[in-house]
Amino acid sequence: MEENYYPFERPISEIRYNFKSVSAEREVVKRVIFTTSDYQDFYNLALVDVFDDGSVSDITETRNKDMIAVLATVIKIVEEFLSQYLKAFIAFQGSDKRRQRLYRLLLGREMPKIQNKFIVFGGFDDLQPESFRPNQEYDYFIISKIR
Amino acid sequence: MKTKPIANTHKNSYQVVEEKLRVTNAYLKKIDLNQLRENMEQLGKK
Repeated sequence: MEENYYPFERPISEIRYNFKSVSAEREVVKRVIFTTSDYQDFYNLALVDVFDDGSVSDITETRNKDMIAVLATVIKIVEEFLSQYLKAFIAFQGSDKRRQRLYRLLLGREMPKIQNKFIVFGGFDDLQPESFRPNQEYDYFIISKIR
Repeated sequence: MKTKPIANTHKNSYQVVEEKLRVTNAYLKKIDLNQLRENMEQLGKK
């Protein structure tokens, strides 16, 4: 075929895991979304609340007082995802500075438990990512499975 | 109790994912991914 054609982007694939955050007051559907990036084997992770009208938000505060359980569930989901996609690298960042700090603190706390399964790197704008250090601020994180 | 949307914080899934993906792609574009793969693999072998 010799006709001219338009350049096209890589296809974007999305893998979703839903779970419910439950408290005495309410149930909130949470969704972890893994999306293919422009780079092979690199996926973006997003954690969002799903509302009854189908809309989602990554900035609302659920206020279900179960942040630890929610993040433990996300770690389990990451583990499940990486057992399916063995070569995957997962990149993620908080939707604001407070969440970014929270993720850093939680990763630091969980490192002794997860470092035999995962490799965690912290990334900076313009600089090569480094092995995660608990007291270092990062712009984003990258996780892969130990192979 | 139903969860109700709060004005201006809700988007459709596509919008949220697009926005986050754009940020991630911008970060990844600036780094040497081969080096990153190698560094992470080396660390996993230790």
